[in-house]
Amino acid sequence: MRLLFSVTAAVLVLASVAVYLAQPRVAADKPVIYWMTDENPAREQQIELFYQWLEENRGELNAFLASRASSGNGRESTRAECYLLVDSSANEWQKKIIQGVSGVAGDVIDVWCTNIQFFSDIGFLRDVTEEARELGFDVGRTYPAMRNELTVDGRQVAFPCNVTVHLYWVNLNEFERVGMEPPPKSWTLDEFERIGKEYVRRANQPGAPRMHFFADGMDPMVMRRTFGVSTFNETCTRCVLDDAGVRERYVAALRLQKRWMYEDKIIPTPAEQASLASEASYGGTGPQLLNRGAYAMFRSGRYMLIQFRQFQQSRLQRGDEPLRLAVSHPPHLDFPNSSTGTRAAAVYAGSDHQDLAVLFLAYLASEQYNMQIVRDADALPPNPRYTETREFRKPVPPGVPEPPRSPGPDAGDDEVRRFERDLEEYHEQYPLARYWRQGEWGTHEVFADAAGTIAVGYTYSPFVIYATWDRIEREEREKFFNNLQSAEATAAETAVRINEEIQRRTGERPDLSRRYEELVEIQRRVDDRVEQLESLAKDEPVPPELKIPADWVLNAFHRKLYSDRGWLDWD
Amino acid sequence: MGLRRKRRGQGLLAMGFLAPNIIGFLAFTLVPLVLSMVLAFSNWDLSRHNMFKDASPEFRGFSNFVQFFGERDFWKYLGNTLFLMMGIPFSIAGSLLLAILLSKDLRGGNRRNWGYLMIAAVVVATVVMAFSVNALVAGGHIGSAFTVVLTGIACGLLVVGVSGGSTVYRTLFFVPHFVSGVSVFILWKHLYRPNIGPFTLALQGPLNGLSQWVNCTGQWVFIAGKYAMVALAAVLMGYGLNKLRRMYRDGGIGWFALIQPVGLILLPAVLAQWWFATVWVKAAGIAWPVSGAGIVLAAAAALWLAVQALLFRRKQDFPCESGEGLGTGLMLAAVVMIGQLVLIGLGMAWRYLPNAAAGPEGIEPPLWLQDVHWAKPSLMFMGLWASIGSNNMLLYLAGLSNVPQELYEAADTDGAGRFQKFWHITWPQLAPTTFFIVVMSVIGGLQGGFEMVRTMTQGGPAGATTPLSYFIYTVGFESGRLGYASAVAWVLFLMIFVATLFNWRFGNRYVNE
Repeated sequence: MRLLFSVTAAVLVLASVAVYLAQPRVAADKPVIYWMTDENPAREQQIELFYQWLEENRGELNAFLASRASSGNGRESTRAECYLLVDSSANEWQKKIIQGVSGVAGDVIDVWCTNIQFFSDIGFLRDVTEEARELGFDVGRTYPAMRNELTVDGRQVAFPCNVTVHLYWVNLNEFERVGMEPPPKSWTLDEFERIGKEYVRRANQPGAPRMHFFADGMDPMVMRRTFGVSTFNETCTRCVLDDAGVRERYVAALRLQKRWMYEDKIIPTPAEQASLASEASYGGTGPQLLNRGAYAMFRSGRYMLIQFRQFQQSRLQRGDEPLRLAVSHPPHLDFPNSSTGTRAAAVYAGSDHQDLAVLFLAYLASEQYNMQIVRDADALPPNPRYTETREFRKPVPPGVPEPPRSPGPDAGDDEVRRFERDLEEYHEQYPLARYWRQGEWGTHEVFADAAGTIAVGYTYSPFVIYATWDRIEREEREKFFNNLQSAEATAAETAVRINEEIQRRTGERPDLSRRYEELVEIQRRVDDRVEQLESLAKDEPVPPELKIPADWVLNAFHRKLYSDRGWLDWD
Repeated sequence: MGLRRKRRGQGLLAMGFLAPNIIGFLAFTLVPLVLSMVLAFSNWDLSRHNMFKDASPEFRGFSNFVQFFGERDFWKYLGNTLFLMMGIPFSIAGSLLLAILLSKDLRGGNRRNWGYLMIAAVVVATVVMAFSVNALVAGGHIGSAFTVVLTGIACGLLVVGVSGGSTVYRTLFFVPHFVSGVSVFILWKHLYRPNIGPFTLALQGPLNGLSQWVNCTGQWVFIAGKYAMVALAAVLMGYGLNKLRRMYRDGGIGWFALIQPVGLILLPAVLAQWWFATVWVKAAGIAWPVSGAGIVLAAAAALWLAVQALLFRRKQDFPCESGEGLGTGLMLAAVVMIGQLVLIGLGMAWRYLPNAAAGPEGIEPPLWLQDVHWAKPSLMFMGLWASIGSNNMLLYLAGLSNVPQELYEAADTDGAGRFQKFWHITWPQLAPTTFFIVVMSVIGGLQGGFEMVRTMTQGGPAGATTPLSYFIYTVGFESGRLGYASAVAWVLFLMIFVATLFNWRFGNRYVNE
């Protein structure tokens, strides 16, 4: 027994040493950095492109690293060489927090934008403002709506891996099936309701359970915002849902959403959604439901094309018609808007290779990376410049040559006929290209345009964690949808609970308390100016002295709203 | 000297063997436990106190605990936890029943009887399947197909069970216990899918038939049915109170210990008054509620109390200490209370049937997990399914095999019937097993629900299924308030400790008696 024990112990010790020595960080001839991200086949290609990018920009990057090292920042590398490995084992945000505060997180961390503020508040996201300016990945390189997502107190902590704008994917085959015109790109709430009612009337059997819905849902945030309502005031110091003037509009938004679900039945209730959903794959069950016509429209980002392209492949193999798609904006009342977010990358503040990790963020702004996102249709590329390319707007399947170019409006009949014949031959030779052309051409630019026009980021208050207030708002909304309380009580309860949470946090944290007092004072000034601005006649020019300094307004919604009205002073 | 060295060597060897386990226990159990206790008295917040920040956690005394009891949703989450625990008596009863059934010889005692049984099972299965398939062919809709599948499974189990005996059933009933929790939860989530889930489809046909029957039946049937259920609840209340009175007279329970069980038994009357009244007020829009059914219960309770007040003036026949018998009294009261609540609930549901059937689609199956009122019962039902055939059943099976046969033989000699034998022999003999199961179930009930809720409902809809364990997780990881989350965890521990202590103090006495 003693021998057995000794041998077992010795084997375990040797195995431990072997495992340690085999670790990439120990065995590699170059520094190894870890990227905490999801398990996605595209990551391999992105890593290859990163190595290429390092190689192509070696001189410049080495100079940057050398300047960083000479500035006495500690353990920085001086050569732009490293291995990049994916760590997908801890991609849930709770695991990232635990690893982050324990000092063992990956060097680069993928963060969904709604977690950036909290992670930054904890302190494990490194401020990269200076490096971003130097290496060209500052917030000015991406979409305007991303500014609020990537910065905390004016300091940049992340850069997008991709950017998502949530619009409605429209299944044109489904509208054709029921004999209706497809919806317009931009529309009002009334139009949405009218077309929706007509669609569900035509698509469903009278008296039978409803199996076809106009859309999978309506984002409550977008709905609230289009009624001119935000959960918070301009400085995010208070939840205003129960304030006079706001409450009425919030109540109207809630009631309309409930009516669409439970009375008009143009969007499914949560129960109906659960009953329609089967097994979820990438992107949830929505894409399949759109593909099979259970939803005529489905809210999502451009990244859904990853799934849709697989559907096109399956349809081609089965000999079915292509899934023809279009894209519409969310319906609007006063304020046309859509939600936007980003899966961003940030540098772990506890990393031993922060300098190399910073290079990875710079790579995300490069042409190599952006064009890879363009080709994969993994949402929008971080840099909007690449949405102007033909590869973005008129993509063809990998390995397929470009289709014949359209002859243009001045072409003669012969030229047009030749083009049509060439195109037909091209489609016969490359049938999947036809599916892509009919399926998605014309949709890409709608996403790109929306990102620069109607997209508004999430609202973050420094005084209450996003996940907390979002949960409170959702719980109270569910009570209303389940007839447990009135819409008015929902507004009141939500405001009370969120404001209590703000009071609790500011009461417990002196640093927050000071900032809170400052912002409450600023809010008073904002309120004064808004009152005066609202009293101006519609066409009256806004006096410069009445304009609100942009940095007073933390709330992304108000920032966009006031910016559109010309109320903000950007200087 | 040599002996001492040898002993030391053996001690070291033993420590070497034990060390991995001890280190594991210290590192992953004891140290975190002690740390969490310390944390519970601190303001440790991940966003302020971590390796990237200079601030250190501060001692906060009991303020985390005070804050928790003032939490606006504390009672709701506690209520959710206790509601889910209401399934415990049913699960214990189910396990006992199952154990008794499975301890019997299901093969008829001899080969000949077994042959008859097999023939009977095959005939029954064939007839049932023929009817089901016929219904499918005639009806031709998907609901019938599910009915065929379900009856097919039931018939298969019958035949296999009869051929294989109780071993087959024991294995089948124990299956949920050794299948991974998350996979079971996902399976049940699918079973509970509204509109097209198997439960819904299986219920759809019978409910359509029920709707037709309800629409052709007079309203008085439903009003009478409701009052019949309420009357039954009143009878049960009377039974419980009477039983307590007898216990009091016989010196089984003291006057002080009597107060709590009486309160518990009267609680459904109060709740019913409130529930019926709420419904009534909503319908009528009138300020103060008075409802017929509530009045019946309240009047019955008042009448009984008045009568008993007169009776209690008489001295106890066998005096006892004022606090004695509390555990037994509470056990009895809990069972009676839950029984009353079930009857009142059934009465309300029965009365509501005409309204439900009058809708365009008749009586519809529930939306299960998506309905704020059905989500908790749905989870409870799933818990019942999982727990009836679990370790509890095995414990009862073991307990049953330990009951001395002589006791049954003596009872047979005295001419005792089956129920009498169960009530006077089996049940008392199983008391230690029941006591152990109750203690473990209460602990599990208070602690549990996290995986189930996280997988199936995420605490929704509208927080209706958030138990305390899920709340701890939310507080700890959503907002990083680890100090506060630890305090809540320790409050939960205290509840479990008090419940266990209570069970031990009072239940143990009952067992030993």
